[in-house]
Amino acid sequence: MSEILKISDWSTVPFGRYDPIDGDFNGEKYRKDYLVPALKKGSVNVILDGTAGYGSSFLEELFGGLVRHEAFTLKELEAKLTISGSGKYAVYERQCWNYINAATK
Amino acid sequence: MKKQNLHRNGWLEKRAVRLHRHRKRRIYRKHRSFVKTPIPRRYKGRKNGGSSLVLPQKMDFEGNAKNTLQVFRVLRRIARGESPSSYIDFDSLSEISPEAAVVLASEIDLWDRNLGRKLRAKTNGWDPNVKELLREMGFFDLLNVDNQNHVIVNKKTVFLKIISSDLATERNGGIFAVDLREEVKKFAHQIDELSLYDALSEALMNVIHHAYSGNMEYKSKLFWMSASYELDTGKLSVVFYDQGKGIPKTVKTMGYYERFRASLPSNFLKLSDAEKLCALVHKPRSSVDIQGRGNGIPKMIELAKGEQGNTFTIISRKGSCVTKLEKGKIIESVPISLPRALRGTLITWELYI
Repeated sequence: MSEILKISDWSTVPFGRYDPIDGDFNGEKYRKDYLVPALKKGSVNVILDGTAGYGSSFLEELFGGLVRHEAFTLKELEAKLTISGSGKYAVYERQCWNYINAATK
Repeated sequence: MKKQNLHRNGWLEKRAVRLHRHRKRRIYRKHRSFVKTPIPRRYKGRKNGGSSLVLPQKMDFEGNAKNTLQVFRVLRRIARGESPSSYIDFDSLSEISPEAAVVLASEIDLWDRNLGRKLRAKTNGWDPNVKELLREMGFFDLLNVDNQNHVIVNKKTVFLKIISSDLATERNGGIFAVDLREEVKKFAHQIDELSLYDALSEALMNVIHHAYSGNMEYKSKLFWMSASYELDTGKLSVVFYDQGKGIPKTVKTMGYYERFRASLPSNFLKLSDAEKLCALVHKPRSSVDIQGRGNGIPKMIELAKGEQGNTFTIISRKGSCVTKLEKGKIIESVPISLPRALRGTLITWELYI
């Protein structure tokens, strides 16, 4: 059973890359506090809907950082990670996977 | 030995005083066209006097860039002279672009922050249109001018109150992006909300990480942003400004400089400020690079990618790069060298909604 993580439950204004310099709702913080622990337990579905938007820095640090800092491989993430965005948020789904792919190179 | 040291210290102090007086005289001579009365040598006990900064008739960064940039320079010099009786004269000003207004507001704001008192303004003969524009943008609060008796004129353009903060202390930058976006949505309903948030987030991130980086004298990370909307043409202008070191000076600290060095022109560091800005806008990218890190400026341009002809302008130091887009593609980027340097970085998105 896949764990569901909805970013908007944590913050509707995700912003920035690094913790703590970029504030309280940055990509590194969410990755370390929520995403990585969930991935270590099993499959995860990250839902992007409901926020004010996403700067590229936030998403790149959140997902690209899984490869760069948390040592996940592309195969592992493809097997365990689902990224979902509906409506206007759908555009972010592909961006997130592109960040993961870029981080593996 | 001790007597010689005392003598040397006394000489240094006298020299410092002489240099200070010489600098003040030089400032007056150089900026005579904008300064009506001499900067006084002694300030104590003088009720009248001080200097007035007379604004030119038009202020913008296009045909009137030289005079506009000169105003900001003189304003900073007067602030350094710390004349207690200085005031700003708006009587001659009949046109001011949103970008120039935001930069002017930042200088007045810094005057207040640095000197601990508001700059005075002569308001008797303001052009009514200019007065309304400045009132909407929040100048009356900055200058402590009576807000009650403003003249309501036929509005062609709506201006938003300038949003400003110090990201050294207010770190959650996303809140400011949302604040401006919510104000913009009141009159530009069709704005792409997510793209606007994304673009402003990138600009705010640049302020936190690059604009004021690597220099101990910057204790603050200030920014100012606003927007205007032309009712007849549907043109939305979003303006973002910081008074950091400027992109041409900070580009080497940005992650993507080393990462994408091979894709930038080989003589990149020797280019003019304007050419550097356009090179960063047009940075050739592989399909991998485009999605990786260090794409702040290209990401900012995303907001301007619409069906209609939009413009993305970035002005920093002595350079300006005006990028025209249509149907989601960059048509051209024009580098323009400025006659004087603008402190920091000014970003403008002009969108037809």
